[in-house]
Amino acid sequence: MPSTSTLLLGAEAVAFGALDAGIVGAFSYAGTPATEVFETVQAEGGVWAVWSANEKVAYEEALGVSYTGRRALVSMKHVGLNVAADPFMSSALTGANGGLVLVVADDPGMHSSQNEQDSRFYADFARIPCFEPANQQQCYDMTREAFGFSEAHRIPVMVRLVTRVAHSRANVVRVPPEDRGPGEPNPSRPDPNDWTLVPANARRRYRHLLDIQRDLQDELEASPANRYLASGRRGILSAGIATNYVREALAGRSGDTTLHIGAYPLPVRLIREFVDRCNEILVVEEGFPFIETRLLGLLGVPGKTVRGKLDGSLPMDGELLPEAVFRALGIPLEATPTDPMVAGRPPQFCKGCPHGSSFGALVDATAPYPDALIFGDIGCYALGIMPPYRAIHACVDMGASIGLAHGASRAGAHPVLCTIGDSTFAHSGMPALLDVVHSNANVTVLILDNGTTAMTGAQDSHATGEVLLQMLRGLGVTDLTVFDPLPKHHADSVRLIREAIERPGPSVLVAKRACVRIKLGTRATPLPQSGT
Amino acid sequence: MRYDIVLAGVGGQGILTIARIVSGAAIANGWNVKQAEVHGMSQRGGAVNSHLRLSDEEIHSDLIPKGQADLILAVEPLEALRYEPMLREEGAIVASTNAVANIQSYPAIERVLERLCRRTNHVCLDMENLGRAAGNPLASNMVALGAAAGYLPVPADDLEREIADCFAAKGERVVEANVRGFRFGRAAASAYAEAMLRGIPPSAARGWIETLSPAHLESDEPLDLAGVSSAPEARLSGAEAHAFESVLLDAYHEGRRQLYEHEVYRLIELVGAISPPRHVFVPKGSAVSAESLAGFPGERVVCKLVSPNVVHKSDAGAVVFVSKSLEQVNLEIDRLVSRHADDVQVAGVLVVEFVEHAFQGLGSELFVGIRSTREFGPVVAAGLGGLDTEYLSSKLARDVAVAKAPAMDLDAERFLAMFRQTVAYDVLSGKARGHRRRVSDAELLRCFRAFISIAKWFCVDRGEEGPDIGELEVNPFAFRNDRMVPLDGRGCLRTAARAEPPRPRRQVRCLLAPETLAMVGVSSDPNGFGRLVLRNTLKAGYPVESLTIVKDGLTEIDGVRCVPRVSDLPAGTDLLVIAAPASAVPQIVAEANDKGTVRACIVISGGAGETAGSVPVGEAIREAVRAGREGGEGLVLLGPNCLGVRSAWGRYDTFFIPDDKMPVEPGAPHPVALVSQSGAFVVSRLSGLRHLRPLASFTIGNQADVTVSDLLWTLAERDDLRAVGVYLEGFANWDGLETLRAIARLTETGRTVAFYKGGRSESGRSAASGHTAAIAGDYDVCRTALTEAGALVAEETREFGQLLELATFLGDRRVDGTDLFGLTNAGFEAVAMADAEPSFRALGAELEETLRTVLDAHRLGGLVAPRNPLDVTPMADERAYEALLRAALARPEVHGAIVSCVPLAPRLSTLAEELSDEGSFARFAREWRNETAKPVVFVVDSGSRFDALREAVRTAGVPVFDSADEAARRFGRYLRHRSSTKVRAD
Repeated sequence: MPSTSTLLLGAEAVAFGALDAGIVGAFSYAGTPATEVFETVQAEGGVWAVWSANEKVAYEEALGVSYTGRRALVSMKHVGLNVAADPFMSSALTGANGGLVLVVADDPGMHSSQNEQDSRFYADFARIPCFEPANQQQCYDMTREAFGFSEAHRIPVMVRLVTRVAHSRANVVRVPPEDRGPGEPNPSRPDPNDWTLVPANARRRYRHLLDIQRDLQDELEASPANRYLASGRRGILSAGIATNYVREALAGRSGDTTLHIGAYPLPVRLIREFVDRCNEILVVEEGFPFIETRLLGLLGVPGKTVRGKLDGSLPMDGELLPEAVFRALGIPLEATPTDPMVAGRPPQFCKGCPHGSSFGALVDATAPYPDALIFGDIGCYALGIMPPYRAIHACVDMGASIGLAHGASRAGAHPVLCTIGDSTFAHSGMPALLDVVHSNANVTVLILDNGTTAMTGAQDSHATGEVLLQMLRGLGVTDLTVFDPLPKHHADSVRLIREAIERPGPSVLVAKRACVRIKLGTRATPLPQSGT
Repeated sequence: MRYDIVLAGVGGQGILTIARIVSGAAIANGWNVKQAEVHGMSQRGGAVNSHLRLSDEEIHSDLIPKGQADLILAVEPLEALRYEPMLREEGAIVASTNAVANIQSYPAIERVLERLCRRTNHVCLDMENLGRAAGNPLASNMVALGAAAGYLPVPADDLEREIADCFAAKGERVVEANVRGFRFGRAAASAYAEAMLRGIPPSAARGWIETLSPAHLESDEPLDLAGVSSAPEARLSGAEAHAFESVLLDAYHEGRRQLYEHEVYRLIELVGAISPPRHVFVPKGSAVSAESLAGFPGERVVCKLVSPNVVHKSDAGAVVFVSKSLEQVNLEIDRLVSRHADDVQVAGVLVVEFVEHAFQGLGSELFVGIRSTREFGPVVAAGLGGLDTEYLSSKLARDVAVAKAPAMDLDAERFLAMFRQTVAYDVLSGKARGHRRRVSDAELLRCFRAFISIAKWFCVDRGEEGPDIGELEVNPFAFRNDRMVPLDGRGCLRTAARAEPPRPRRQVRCLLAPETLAMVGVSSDPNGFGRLVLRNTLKAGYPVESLTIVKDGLTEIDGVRCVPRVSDLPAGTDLLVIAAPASAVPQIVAEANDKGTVRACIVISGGAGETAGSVPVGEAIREAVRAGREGGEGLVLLGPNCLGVRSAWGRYDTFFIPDDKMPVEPGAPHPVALVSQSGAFVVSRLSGLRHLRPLASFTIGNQADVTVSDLLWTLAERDDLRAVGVYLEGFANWDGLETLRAIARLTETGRTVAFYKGGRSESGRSAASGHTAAIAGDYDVCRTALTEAGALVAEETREFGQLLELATFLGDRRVDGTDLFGLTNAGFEAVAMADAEPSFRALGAELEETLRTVLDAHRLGGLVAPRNPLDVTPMADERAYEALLRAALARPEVHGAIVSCVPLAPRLSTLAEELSDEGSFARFAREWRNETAKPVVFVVDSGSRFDALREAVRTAGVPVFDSADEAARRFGRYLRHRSSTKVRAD
């Protein structure tokens, strides 16, 4: 294959980097802004790519591939890594065999998320290397490089994306796949004891992880991912995408000393040289002040002025915007203020969305109970918080609604309801429902089964239709009602919900109607045959 | 080169498809591309955007820095506005007007569009409609792309190719609809841009584009903009019209006649003229909120007292500049109110954005105003603005100080052409030294169009429809990024004058040539006025058998039969001359109307409304005429208080001038008519200009019914007229406007109207009036409008006579230009002519050579050098004159000649007894006229001994002047007038 240049999203470039690095499988649970990484692999075909039930499972599946000596890609959004944190942290100890690359897409500014996180802290926490591409080409290049690096050091490697890289397109040059060809196992086989984290092994492996840190740092210190350009006494230290804004602002002027960081652990020697040269330092990074905090330590850098997020030169929250960087560099941008009549336009339920009528019924059904608590969950139906429904009292994390409801009912609240989508239920709702059934809690669970993972673009759901009902029965649910939440059945829906509330013990209602987007023909691809 | 685009819309509108197509075409053209998108939750009906960056260099940032984008391309108007802060100053907005109002707090759509349309570069179109026309309303994103194609740095063909690729999978029909949508968008946008260049309001442009058929949109033909209506109803949507009316009504119901500054802004803004600075009205007793203050740009704001009693705010110390802190502003508001509350009525305080605009010397601000006038209806004026408006206007020559015109028949293009003649335009357009262009013609047109529209529709008597606008003006407009920003505005409500219903033309014609004539009020006293009228009419040749006198108790007077009562007059009497006392007139008119036997009447009598005591009589006369008109075609009435008519067409003469004081001049009448409000003016002219011998003279007195315009329209129907002279002191309501129309008609048909307007001192202007009345006073407007309509306006009575003479005698001459040849036998006259008039061009080589030959032949070669004007010295005789004039007039570059002689030169035959000589000027004059079609005038600047010479030359049809410089000045002016109206006549 000759080199080709294509306009790609950062997320797509990562996928092609992984494909060209010879992965045998990609694993993921859908979540903006990471979804397209997996979807691209899936669309390209040729390797195993089936949505996982959740990020933890996805990570474990990828780790399993790696243990066989083959390469695997696992991708997720930042909060997904919280779900996968258990295998993730421990995989740093077991190490990888075939290249294992974890792509995490952070969402600064919370375009489509419930919090801001900076996954560089996770990489640091687990003591694994992390690459941070600044542009779409680097997404491709660094992902490919990460596989080699993972295998060379037998360690999982993180590629950290942010929304703006993942969801922005630019020309990306792909180069022919590596010689070893796809699917060929890593020829060397490590000691299987390394993967068995009983305390004795784990202690040894942790020691090993600590021991290789110096090697990792030495190797990355020289990586072209980090770029140092010595010039004047003002220094600008930037990482990842933040460097783009710095370069945009400086527009080719070269009076400042610059240090760009694209790989972690941090290149300490480069940073020391940079700090020694400069009197005044501006640290620009997307996400949390990760580097800035480390640079300052507890007591700061004596004799130097360090500016960045911590001193307010740059905003601590929200997406880093070019104008903020311009301002921090002393380049003001003239702009007219937004006209005050411009009202916000939040997203809303699609026309004919079954969630809309479900919430309509829920609101009417709970109207006689002024103390009713309704716990929501992650998905399109979080829009139930918007007028005219205003029907959700909490929305925290994936699968949380059932656990929250259970807890509240244990505290004596009544009635307590929760709403959860079919895909979210499969992701992490099941264990919580098991608890509810097990302890016979007085909770009404409304599962909104629209047959898909709608919010991220209609990916497969693992717990829909008949499968869902079987799962519920299997979990021991006996009070199970299925209804069609069409507006014309509104009165019935209200009655069914109210009856379920009135029945003691756990009641599960399934509002079953397909997402209008599926009807429009955006159904996800069918399952592929086994990849290898 | 770099081109940054913000694409915006609502989730699901196809923003990313646009991005994909532009990116594809850009890459195909070798551009680097970066394109940031929004995925996820927002795609569910929320605001979505995409930053699309094209560059021939490396692109660093995925996001466009704020204030740096070149284009906002939005498929939804509020989304376009949302991202406006992204746009650089000169950036463009291309937006659909189709609101997706899926939120409760969606603002009024017309306000959103108005904001967008303030951009110099913008295209706002109903893209859904264009998509539908193209075959699919969902193609509106491609319409948007098409509308933006003109701004994009990639060829439209490549975009079309990408569109075809993009939709190929969905089948041919989808491809076709989308490509068509793209083309429609392109065509509509270029039409829209053209309309903006012409200052057509955006909504009018849109309304017009909506009327275009798909065939129109698909053809490559340039679109004809003639169909764009500028009437405000056509462009004010229901909501805007309602908003407009309610501003007026609110003020009216408060009992207020002055409009406040912010109300003026609102009115003008509603018709799409201006971008007012941000402002908020803080009613007395309340304070400005932090939220509202935060919306003001800049560091300072201006607080202005709002009071119905304070019109000139800065003079009254009612304007304060404050730094933009909540505490400061509210403190100043309190201070302003308490400082003035004791003296004037205070409504509140207007907090206005401080508009940063450097004062760049005199004339860098603009004034635009409209007002209703009694004579011309609404009038629009524009000129130098600012505090010095009135001072500057009074010091500058009238024509270059202020452009002003009656609005009813005006369009913005014509007014801009007039404005181009002003000093203000020279400065604003950067034509004056040391100035740069501050505003485009398109922006001026947009402004003028709006003011003219308001004038036409609201500065008129609207009866029950709503209050009339008396005055509305902005002074000054400042300029910011080519946008006109008003810094102050005022206006007032005032009931406008109403035009009288038109007089039936058929009846008016009876005044020119009545076939039957009757008189009432002919006394038995042979020296009474009535008897004089009768005698003069008989003398003028009126057939006795068509004449009847209303006189009870007599059967005949001077051989004319009498009837006892008006009601006894034969049916179908064309004209009744009423010489009876004014008090009897209402009764006579009523009687005449009663049987419908009389078509027109002339009321000679005075004492019918000119004095306070006679007003009731005047009213009674008007009432009698009105009553007759109501039942059908009642009679028309000329006068009262006039001399009536002397008409060669009708062979009648109601002028009661004794024959021995003003004998009827022998000879055929000349093709000229006089219309005068004053009888004395006419008889003075006729006595002074004996040779003029008009076809008809009309005196119109009080214009209780028939007005000057009625007569002019009727005269315009005659094809035996060449010139009309008008003397007028005051127009009837709105008759000024009608007069302009009649003059324009006369001018178009090749006739010349000389106009003398008396009664110029301004009255009724109060200190509370705005600037419009001050700088565009009644006479100013009248003079300019008459000139504009094609009249030759005389400033002095003598000039009037001269212009009328030129028009009468030279009206049949061919005028191809304004270059004059002067011929005189006195050096001082040659100098005086050249000093008075710039039209004496240096001689061409050929003419110079010819003249030299002629001079040599007459043995003048040694004495005289050929030049223009040519001094032939007293050595020249008439033959030399004749040969030189003939040689000059034969040249195409000579358009007319002035021949002057000092008749005292011994070689000339200029005494009365010599005039019959073979070689006298009297004979030559006849020959010039016959030989050449070019105009020639003659000058005799010597005593009464040479009156016979003057008379003889005049008799030959050549105008004669008493001094060479005056001749040059008037003749020059006449030729310029003829040249400028020739085009219209042609």
